[in-house]
Amino acid sequence: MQPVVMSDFTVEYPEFTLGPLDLSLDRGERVALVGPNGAGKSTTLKGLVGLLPRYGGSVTFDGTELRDAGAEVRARIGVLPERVLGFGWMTVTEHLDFLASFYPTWDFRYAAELAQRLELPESTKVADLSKGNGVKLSLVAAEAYRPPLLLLDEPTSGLDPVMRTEVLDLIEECAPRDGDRTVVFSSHILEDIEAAADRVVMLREGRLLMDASVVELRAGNPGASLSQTLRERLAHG
Amino acid sequence: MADPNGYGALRALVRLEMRRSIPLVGRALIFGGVLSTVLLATGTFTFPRLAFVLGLTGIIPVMAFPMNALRDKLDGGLEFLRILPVPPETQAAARLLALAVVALPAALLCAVAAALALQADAPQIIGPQPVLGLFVALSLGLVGFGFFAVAVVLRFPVHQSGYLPLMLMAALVGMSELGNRYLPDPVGAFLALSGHAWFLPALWTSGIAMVGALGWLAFHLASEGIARFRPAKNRILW
Repeated sequence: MQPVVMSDFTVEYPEFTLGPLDLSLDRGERVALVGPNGAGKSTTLKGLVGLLPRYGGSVTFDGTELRDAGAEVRARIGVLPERVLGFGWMTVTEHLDFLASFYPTWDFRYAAELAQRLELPESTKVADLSKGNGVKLSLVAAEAYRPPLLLLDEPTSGLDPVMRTEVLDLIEECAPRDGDRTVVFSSHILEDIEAAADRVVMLREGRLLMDASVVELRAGNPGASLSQTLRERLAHG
Repeated sequence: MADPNGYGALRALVRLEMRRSIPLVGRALIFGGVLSTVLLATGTFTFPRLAFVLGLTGIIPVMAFPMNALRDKLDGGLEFLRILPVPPETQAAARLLALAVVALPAALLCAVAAALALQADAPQIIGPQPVLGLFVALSLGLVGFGFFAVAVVLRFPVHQSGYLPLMLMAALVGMSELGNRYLPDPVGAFLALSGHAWFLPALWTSGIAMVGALGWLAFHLASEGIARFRPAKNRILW
């Protein structure tokens, strides 16, 4: 069974309509959501977390409609939002301890290991973290309970090249290509998609423009890099 | 072990809310202490003035909860909490529960303040029964007021409503007019009623019924506000 299925998924805001989208994600797949600002990438991710109170169509995770999903289903989805970190007055350790209360599968030792390896300053307040350390903290928080579905919104946006590589390596390590965890991430940085995705879903103005595997995209444009192919697709629709 | 459906999540959220209110409680106590010292030092001390200071000191901590709710709406705290695997109902309940716990010591301070004021006003009448009555009434009143404020902040875009201060002022003026018309001597009426044996049980019963109804309404409004929350377009956080 495909763990994530979106059927006729539609979200209507006064200023923006997303969909209808039909999207199915396989276990172990790493899907990149691509598109210009306002294309609907974050709204699609929010739909996958079950954060949208009203939407048309259906979004299921392991057979459960997310609209009606209880906390036990939501506790199996890891989320790295683009900018929301938490409460600035908490230290890194307090932030992680607070989050641990909500996830039955939270692994304290693993969280501490990750934080140490990423050199997260434990006693620093969340508000005082740099952009890069903020992303690392969010990644640790999203990974510490090893959710089968990991949703990452612009995980490398605004990071310097060294930090970007570190974050991409961590994603690779947490969800290896031959693993059974599904990863969906949005990005503006086409090189990151080349490095981390095996399928690309392109959105524009709330509509699905393209849904293809990286292998298909490479085969369709031999000689060109994936980034170049994506750039052309984005430019020509 | 975490328990996302049960008390673990609720406990963590109640602790969060209480911990967040501590700075304001601390500041309120310092404010009360400094002002009382100034009254003593400048020789302007009177019981009604001290009562005023204590009353303010007691009300401020309760205001921490609607203020935190407003801050959460504006700076991404609410969006962060919404990502957690916790139903909006649990989040709303945690805010209201924490408020009720903090409101009790605050009400005690207010009751002492009101008793001091009454003592100055009518020293021959005030006794333990009216003081206890004041504590009960103020506890329930503060809890009810806090519930209402948290629910309104979470459910409605109060930060965008330019008319809100005007509406609040109009409501206060209206209530004051009604009070003057139907209860011209509230202190006298309170003292007269507090002499009866049925006074405290009646106060408890009617107060709890009112706070219960208000709590039920606030719980639903706050849950709905959390579930439907969407950051304003110019401050999209996620």
